Amino acid sequence: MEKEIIEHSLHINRRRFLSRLSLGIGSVALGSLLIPDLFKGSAEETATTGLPHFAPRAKRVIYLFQNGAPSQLDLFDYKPLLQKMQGEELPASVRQGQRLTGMTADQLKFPLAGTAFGFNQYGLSRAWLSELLPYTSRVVDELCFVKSMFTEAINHDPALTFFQTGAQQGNRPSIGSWLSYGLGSENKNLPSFCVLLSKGKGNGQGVYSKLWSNGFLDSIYQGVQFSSGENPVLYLNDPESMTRPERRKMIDKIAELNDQSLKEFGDPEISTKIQQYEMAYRMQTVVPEITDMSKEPEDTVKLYGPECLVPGTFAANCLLARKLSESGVRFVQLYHQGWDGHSNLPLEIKGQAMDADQASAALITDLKQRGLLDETLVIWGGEFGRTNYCQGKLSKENYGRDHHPRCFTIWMAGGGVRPGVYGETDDFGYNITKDPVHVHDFQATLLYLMGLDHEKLTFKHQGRRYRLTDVAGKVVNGLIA
Amino acid sequence: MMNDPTVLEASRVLAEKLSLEQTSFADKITKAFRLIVCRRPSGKELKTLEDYYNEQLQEFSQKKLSAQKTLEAGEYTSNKNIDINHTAAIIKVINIIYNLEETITKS
Repeated sequence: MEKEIIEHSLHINRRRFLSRLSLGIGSVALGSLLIPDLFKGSAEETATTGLPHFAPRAKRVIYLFQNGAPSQLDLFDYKPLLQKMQGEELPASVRQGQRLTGMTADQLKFPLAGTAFGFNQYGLSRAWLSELLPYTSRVVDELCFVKSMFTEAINHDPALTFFQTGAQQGNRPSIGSWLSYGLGSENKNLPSFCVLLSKGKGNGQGVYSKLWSNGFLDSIYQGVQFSSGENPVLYLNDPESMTRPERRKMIDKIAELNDQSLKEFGDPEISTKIQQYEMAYRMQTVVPEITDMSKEPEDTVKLYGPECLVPGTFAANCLLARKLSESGVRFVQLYHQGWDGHSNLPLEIKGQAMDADQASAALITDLKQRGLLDETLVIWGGEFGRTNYCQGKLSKENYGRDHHPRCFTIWMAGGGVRPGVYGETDDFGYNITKDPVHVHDFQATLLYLMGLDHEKLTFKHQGRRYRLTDVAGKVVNGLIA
Repeated sequence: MMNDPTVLEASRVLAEKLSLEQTSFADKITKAFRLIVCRRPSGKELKTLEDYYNEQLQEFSQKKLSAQKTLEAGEYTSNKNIDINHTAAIIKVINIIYNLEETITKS
């Protein structure tokens, strides 16, 4: 116990010295880089020195997460065999004892269900795309379709958490937190990790703040959720009685008092709070400008579709994501809910695709027009795939699909990605036959494109070093231009 | 927290009540601090808040800031017998106390 007390007071002294030093230089960024070192108590190098590890291909990420898992078989992975074998039983040689969810495990039959939608080939890569994605089909030459994604989880919560944090349990930092920890912010007036939510009409699955949690990293790295209403950041505007200089004075007073308790207790979360108040103050001038859609030129509105003027829609969020990203937000995370097509899939996916197709393609076009696509990595995809067999009653027009972790399709674009089609699945659309990409491989590749070595971006917590890819993952060179 | 209407209204109502009590300013602030943070303020904290109060009082008295507008927060019926400049300055002090790290964080 005595040792701990001595150590504690040593930390406080070191903290005092360093925090004064950094304030003296007037650099909050330097201060935050120094803080991870404070409690290590050794001369060891911090994990964030010498970053980035190599020349980054992308500076920013916009991740269009399609929450609930869109059916790859009705959007990207064309399998005529399923239409030919419509209603026939899924062969055991294909299933190979794969575990099923509780929702279909008790089904007596697993009848194959071919897609109800027409497919065509597009672009230089001759990628197959369903008729549900007319706008996406026009930007195919910018996209890299990864048809061989697979995951370990079979239910939404663990699968989502796995994608976002590299672990299924949900106590780890999210990708965006790792990136802001490693690379910091490009714009000191905005958070480096923003989260935007929208909801389609299809069967929905929840999203929750643990998906954009900072985990064991400092709280300044957590994702800032914008709300979906008229005012994306609540209570950002000062009341009428408050003037700017007056607000400044008040924040300084709060900082002064918080600093007194920081000196007394040495809790790093107190300095985080001081920084967050500073961030809020700076956001007050920048955010209203960025979130104001009324000044958008007509061709932009036309590009994203009229929905982009309705706050809280996927289209509005895509446009907002572009504006935030353009202003230097490192990681913009969107979630669009409603892809969980257990039943009435053909009807539901139509609506979902209508929400997502035009705006997703518009984002690519818009970034390209602004010369930003080269440095912005855009990702589109869900947490797993859907089964080739029908859940519930099968008819030609109607079917449902259960969760399928063994293969699914996502697409990536911009920021150093090689357009084309990567990986293959078998004729049943059940197993991967070529170039499988595990979720950790995807994460390692994402970090690589941002100039980070996924094995070196670590944080020591509870006695061991953690990373986004845990103890696995390899960079997929075939995805990189 | 600084602009949340609930916090602004709570600050106003507490400030109005305190301004009607026949106690010294230090006592009023100590009481507000105890109600919100659940401990007595240290001498240094009290001094910081007192300085801020005096500064604010001056600004309100010289009409550099509008006391009337500061008092327009929420629906709770306003007490007519208050001194508006003093009360507005107390509101600002209470606003600060509500926004302290120690108030927001439970641990």
